[in-house]
Amino acid sequence: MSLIRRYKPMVPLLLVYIILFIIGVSVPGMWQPVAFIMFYIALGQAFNIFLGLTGYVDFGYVAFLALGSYGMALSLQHFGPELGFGAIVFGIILGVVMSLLLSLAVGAVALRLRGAYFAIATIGVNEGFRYLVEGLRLWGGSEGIVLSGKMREIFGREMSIYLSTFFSDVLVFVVAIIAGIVTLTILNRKMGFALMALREDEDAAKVMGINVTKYKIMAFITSAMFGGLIGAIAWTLKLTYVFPEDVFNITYTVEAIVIVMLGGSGTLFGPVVGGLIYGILKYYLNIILPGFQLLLLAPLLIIIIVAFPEGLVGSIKKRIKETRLYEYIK
Amino acid sequence: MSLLKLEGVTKKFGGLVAVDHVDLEVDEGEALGIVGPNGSGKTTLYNLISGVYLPDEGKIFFEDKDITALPPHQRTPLGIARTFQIPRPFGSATVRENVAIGAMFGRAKATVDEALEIADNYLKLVGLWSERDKEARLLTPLQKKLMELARALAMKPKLLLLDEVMAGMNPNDISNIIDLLKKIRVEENIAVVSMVEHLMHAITKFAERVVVMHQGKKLIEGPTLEVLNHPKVIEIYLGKKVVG
Amino acid sequence: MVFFDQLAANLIYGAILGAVYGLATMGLSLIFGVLRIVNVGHGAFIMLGAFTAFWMFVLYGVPPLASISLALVIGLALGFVIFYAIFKRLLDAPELSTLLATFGIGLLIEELAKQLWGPDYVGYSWNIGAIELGFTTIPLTKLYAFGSSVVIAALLYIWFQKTKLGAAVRAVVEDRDGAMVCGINVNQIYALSFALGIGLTVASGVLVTLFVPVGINVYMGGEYTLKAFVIAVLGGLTSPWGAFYAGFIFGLIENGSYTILGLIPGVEPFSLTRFLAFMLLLVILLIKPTGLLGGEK
Repeated sequence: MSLIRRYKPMVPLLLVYIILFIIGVSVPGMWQPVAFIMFYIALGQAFNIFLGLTGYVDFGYVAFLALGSYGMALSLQHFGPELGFGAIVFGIILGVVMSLLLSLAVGAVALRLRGAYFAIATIGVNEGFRYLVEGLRLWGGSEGIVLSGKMREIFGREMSIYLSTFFSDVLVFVVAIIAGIVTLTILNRKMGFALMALREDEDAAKVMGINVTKYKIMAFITSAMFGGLIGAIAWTLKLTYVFPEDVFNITYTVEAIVIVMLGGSGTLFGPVVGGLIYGILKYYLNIILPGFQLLLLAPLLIIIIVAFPEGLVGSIKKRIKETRLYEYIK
Repeated sequence: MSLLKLEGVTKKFGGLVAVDHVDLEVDEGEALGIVGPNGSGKTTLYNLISGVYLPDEGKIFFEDKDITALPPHQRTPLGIARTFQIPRPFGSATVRENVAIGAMFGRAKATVDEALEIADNYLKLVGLWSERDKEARLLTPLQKKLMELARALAMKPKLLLLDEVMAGMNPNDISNIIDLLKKIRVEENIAVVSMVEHLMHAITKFAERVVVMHQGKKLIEGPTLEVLNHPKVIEIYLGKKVVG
Repeated sequence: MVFFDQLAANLIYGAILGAVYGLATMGLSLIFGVLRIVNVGHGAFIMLGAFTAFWMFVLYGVPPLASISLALVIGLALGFVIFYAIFKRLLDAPELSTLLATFGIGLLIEELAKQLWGPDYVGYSWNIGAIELGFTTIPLTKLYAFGSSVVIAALLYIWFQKTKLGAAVRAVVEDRDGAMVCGINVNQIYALSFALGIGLTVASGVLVTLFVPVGINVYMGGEYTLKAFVIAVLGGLTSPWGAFYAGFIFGLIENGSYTILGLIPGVEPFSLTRFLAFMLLLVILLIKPTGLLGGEK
């Protein structure tokens, strides 16, 4: 398959991103909802790399975003004055590295475990790490890190506002694009086939010669690194503060699960659809019915699992199999 | 040098001895049949050879290399492939993709594109070419068995372990499969081990040599017709009283 | 000497609490053992039991020990409803589905509770005297909680071993198809086991309140879920009895941990203990996933 044919499925993805971007910049007041939606699309893409491709649930996923945000926060806090803009770059790197390290630690241990046991192990990752941070009074303990003053000090008032709004939001777009490319690349290569096999039937996959642990770990750390990326950019850079009770909040993991399942786990376009629908729902529901998210999320999740386990994109894929559109959907 | 050698292989589950100090040798390109009533340990033996279980005692050698402790995914690239009695397709993938996986991670270690080509060849061989883009779970049981076979072959094995591959087939299909296996054995120099519980007739047409298992032990082995007509073998199938 | 007094007191307290922990986890192990469903929403049911005790006491003056039966009934009913509405359809679904389903159910229960009862902490106080032990005082309420847990666990054991239904459940666990062939309606057994598991969990929630009388809150479940998993894994994920014994051990370790860590300056003993509990979970899962005590059964 030629390179172009291989990456055809990126087209609808990029189309959606571009349309959203245009709406955001041209229609007054729409940038905020667009950025909000993009966050969820990016989150979905990142999480899909693990949940979608392997079929394993990591209930502690948000810990990777949390570490990403701590990475950025620590970088700005300690290196901001000297490095200025470089501290942001370093913060991204640090955030990703920290998530990578945690994922290696957790992965090496937990990924030897099968399905349900793995999920149990990860339930505590999130809370466990949070207790560690608070218990050892690490990185500000339960009081977290507040950066707004520091940011102004480093970049000046105007620039720091710019960084926390337009700049970080655009970076989220970039992350979503990169995550999409990475997902598609995986799907097209041996790794994608290996993951599909282990998702369908792990024992048969082993007998086929697939080193399931290796591939699980690869998907896990890739997903984790993107999580770190998102945390660093969409949280710390944007909000300028990090509080353990926020960044370790399991709600984000739940949302990620819903987005991936709603859109269609294991597909490229699924998280886009899921993120879009979920983002829109959440944003406008927040205005109409604040505080009701989880109450609606929970039954939604249950319904999806029972009635639409393949998600929207999964069901659509089946229907358009015979048409040319199929080449564009993955 | 024999292709596969088992020395004193034993596997226990709790108090039950499923495989009891079995010695076995399979030569390159051989056609071997493993026969035995239900519960005689045949499937466990297969699982031991493919690495799904690790033996409690004994050793397993493949091309004189000690593979006793190797995990399954490291045995396949050496050239061991197996099918399952109840086929285990990767349901939501297409038939073509299923077979291609065999080519990607087996001895061939093909790239994705190469693997798809190899898959096409084997699909044509077993007669599933027309179903190649269908989702594997939608196949009929017979087609699933053929796909399992194609997938195993795509792994380019030197040793092919077939688990009751002929069960549930009509005589015509059985005949076709046996011809197919003969052809493959010769063309690609694969040793084929076929495990059956009944279907003695098929084994007679297929295997040059037969091993009979009973209660985890190797009861007897030798040329097919001799062994299958042996009174002890008839006894274990029909029971002592009948032979009497 | 004061340290040892305190340690001894903490250990006794730990053992007493441990029995309740054990009871709280039995339901989890039962559901996993019979249905292979990991109930990630476990804590939410404990919360329901806690609130049952609270409302019964505050509104009607019913002592918590009496509320246990009500909680058990509520749990059973809820369990049946949930099973037939949701899990019956998921019996052949991949593991991921049931995992997410229990997760969603737990979440739903918590959110509904929040809408009904608000997010604040509530509590009640039930004081009926205590026993003096020289170095420490043990409130009778806690002693009764201990006793109740042991009694319930014992009753359950007898039920499993001596009754037809109990035998049927054990048969299904051993060999589902074999049980079917024997004429056992496997689906009904699944429903019963699930309902029983939920019932036990809700009932244990009542007893939990005797230890944290002012800590009742719609989100209290989360902490107990983690503890329950550590205990369940410790006791062998599939065995309710293993879970019960493991509960004791966990109670002891937990309290011992608070005491010892409390002596180290600069650390926060409660958070750190929870972290250690999680580490323990990982360690056990790695070394012996079938549990330290008992195995499959």
